Amino acid sequence: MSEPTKPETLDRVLDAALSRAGDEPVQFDVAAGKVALAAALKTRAEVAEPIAVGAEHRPRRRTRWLAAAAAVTVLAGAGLAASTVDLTGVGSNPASAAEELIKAADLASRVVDRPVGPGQYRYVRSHYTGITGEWGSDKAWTTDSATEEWIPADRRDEWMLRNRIYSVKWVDGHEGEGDPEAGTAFKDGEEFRAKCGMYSYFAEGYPDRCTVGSFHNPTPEFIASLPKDPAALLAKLREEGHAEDAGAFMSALEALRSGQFPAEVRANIFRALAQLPGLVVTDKRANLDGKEGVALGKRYYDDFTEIIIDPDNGDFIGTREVIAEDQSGDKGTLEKGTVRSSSAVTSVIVNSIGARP
Amino acid sequence: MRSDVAPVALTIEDEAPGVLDEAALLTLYESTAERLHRYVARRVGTDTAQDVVSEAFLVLWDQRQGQAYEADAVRAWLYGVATNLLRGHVRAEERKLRAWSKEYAARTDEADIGDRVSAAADADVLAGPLTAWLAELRVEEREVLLLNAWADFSPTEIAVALDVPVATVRTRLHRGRARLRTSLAATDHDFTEDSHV
Repeated sequence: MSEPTKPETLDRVLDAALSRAGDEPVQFDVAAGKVALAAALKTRAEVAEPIAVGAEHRPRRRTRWLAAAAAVTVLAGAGLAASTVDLTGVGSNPASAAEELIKAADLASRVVDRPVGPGQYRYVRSHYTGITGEWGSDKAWTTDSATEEWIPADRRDEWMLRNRIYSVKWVDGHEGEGDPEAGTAFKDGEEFRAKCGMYSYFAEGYPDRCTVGSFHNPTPEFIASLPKDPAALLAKLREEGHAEDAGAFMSALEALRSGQFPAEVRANIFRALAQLPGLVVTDKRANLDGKEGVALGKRYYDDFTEIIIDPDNGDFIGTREVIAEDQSGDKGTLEKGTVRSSSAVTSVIVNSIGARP
Repeated sequence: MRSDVAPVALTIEDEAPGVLDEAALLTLYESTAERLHRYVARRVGTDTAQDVVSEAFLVLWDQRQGQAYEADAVRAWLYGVATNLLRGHVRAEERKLRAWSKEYAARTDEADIGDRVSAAADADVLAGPLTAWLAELRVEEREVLLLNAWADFSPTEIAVALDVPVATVRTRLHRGRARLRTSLAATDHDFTEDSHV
């Protein structure tokens, strides 16, 4: 009987195998492509209305893209943990997660939502904290950042997105050269405004946020189309999550993180999740951004992905990723209960764009 | 890591930010198209890749001509466009990955590799099945994982290119990798463990 393969061995082999996977020599004639592109541009200039004229009608936008060199990903190792969760006895009573969800659903469904009135905005703030490390090196850093978004009552009006970076610090004993890369694409305070929330940095082809609804981007039409029956809603979550339970949970998580679902639908999402196998209470007193709630987690490989709900009113507080089992690696022992990352969500109505509660 | 896809600096990188005119677009094509094509072809095959690459450049032209641009920004933008275009070819992509996996298995002589004991040999043996497992991933996980592994994008760049919060990118990347690691561990392959470290 051989020893179980070490995680770092698997990571190393995975990287090496990925670099070979699907690769084959391909022919590409740059010169011919360039000629074809030049021809296509010429045709466009002749056939289409002069694009330069069209461009004048569009607001000129200067897009800033920040590019980072290193390939990074989330890690957590010994001594890196910002906080830990006691996972002792977790999963011994799977029924309790469903009970907590039903309780939260009952509370949430009693909430009377104030609609976002004309001229008002839904303000959604996501506060992210997490540890990031670089594959194949010992460098690791913590990021404390937030995004704030103002969504108008009429989604066709102007939205605003603002990025905040509070701190980016090397983890003791895991320093690299210079300053660590912020765990976000933008500068602190950088701001974007656009109708339908189609900010200038989006890649072309991104679905129109006014018309294409999803759990991630819930348009009023999408919300209205969701089934009321929890089993049917779970089926919809599974469908969007590619028919898997883990995918369904991710869809629910993205829905809750959007901060845009009315309490009644949030209640239905909780009821749907109550029927999802494998959900357990991971932490009865999870503290996120000063709010305490009950954490419900679903095991996914090494981690519990959790949603945190306020047991007093059924509010959604945020999400966390917590190491589910002791691990070992060349970066040190990865301890069960280590919080890899967390994201606290605040969602309220404000009277003007840029206003905070 | 990912030594075969070391980042290639764009030749225009050191110049002052210019305006995207026809000459600039063609220069950009010269410096990036082959690499973008290779990435896209690896996912969907070379025929579809030709179309996707051409379309990505035309979209860039339609949206950004006459505007100031930065080389890194444009590169991220092109890959973001290509990724969005590839979502229209998910079935073709999964077929391509599975076909490659089969074809690779047919031409790889395990007995030959079996004598060598190294991580490289492990990777040679496992690249075939791994490619088929890529086809099983959720498309959101796969695109993040492959932008990272094959196009050398950092999660931050991926977040910008795909308009997904960086936390979500990290979750998807972590999940994708975890899933592949588990599949690797479940094979009966006898891994070459690190001798030290």
